Amino acid sequence: MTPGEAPGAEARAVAQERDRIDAQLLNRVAEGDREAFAELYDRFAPPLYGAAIQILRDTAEAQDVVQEAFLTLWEKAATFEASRGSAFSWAVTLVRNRSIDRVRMRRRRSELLAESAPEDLGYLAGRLQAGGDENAALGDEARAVRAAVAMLPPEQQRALELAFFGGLTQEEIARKLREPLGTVKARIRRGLLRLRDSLADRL
Amino acid sequence: MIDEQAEEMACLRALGLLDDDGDAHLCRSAPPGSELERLARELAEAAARLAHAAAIPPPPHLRDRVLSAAGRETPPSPRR
Repeated sequence: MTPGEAPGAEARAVAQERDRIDAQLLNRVAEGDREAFAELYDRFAPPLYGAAIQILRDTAEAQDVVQEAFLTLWEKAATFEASRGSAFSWAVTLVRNRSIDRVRMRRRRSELLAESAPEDLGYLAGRLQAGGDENAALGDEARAVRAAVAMLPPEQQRALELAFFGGLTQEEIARKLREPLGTVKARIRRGLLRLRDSLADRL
Repeated sequence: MIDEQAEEMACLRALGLLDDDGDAHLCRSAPPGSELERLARELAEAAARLAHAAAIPPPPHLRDRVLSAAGRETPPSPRR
């Protein structure tokens, strides 16, 4: 950091550059550039695949969902507007929505109640303790996000995990954790605000 | 100054948990360029980054499968 530079300024510049490159790739995809599409796949696939597995708990279904999401990016790249959000957040939304839809369909089919859904994900905690080799293979961003999540109090991690990877509403989370709704709301709000601040300093 | 209720709605939207009415309300309260709109966007980006906490390398055959599937599709329509 150069003298006088605000804390996190360098991290924010890195994040902006990353988003700029992603947007540029997606713009090239909109022109039918297959090399850009392959590069976008290489940049996005590990977090998208990991998130799909975490939500679906099924590798075959996760692969289907990731394929569907990338095909949507391919077909609809021209509709992307950087002013509405990053290319990465669009891709995550595609994977997450499709994965959660499939989980809900499964639940309806088997007539399971939401309470019995994501039993005990414990996934973030597991990921945080992932071995050095795995962390090294995934690059700076995965390490930075895991470090930022690890800084959250466990109850905030859990609430965010159930909302993001479990697709549960605040009410469902409150029932599952046997906590008052207001407590869950506060954990989600504080957790996400804190995560934003922490990521701004790290990415 | 953004109040707690608005923050909560921005968080819910970021996590895909805001219903249509809530979303419409947030859109009205957060016009483009407003502080609340910026917060909602930052929270959405932070939530999306959570996917990195679960990142794992996909099997190599998935890359081939995705690229081949795109190859079979009509190229995207050019920008208008």
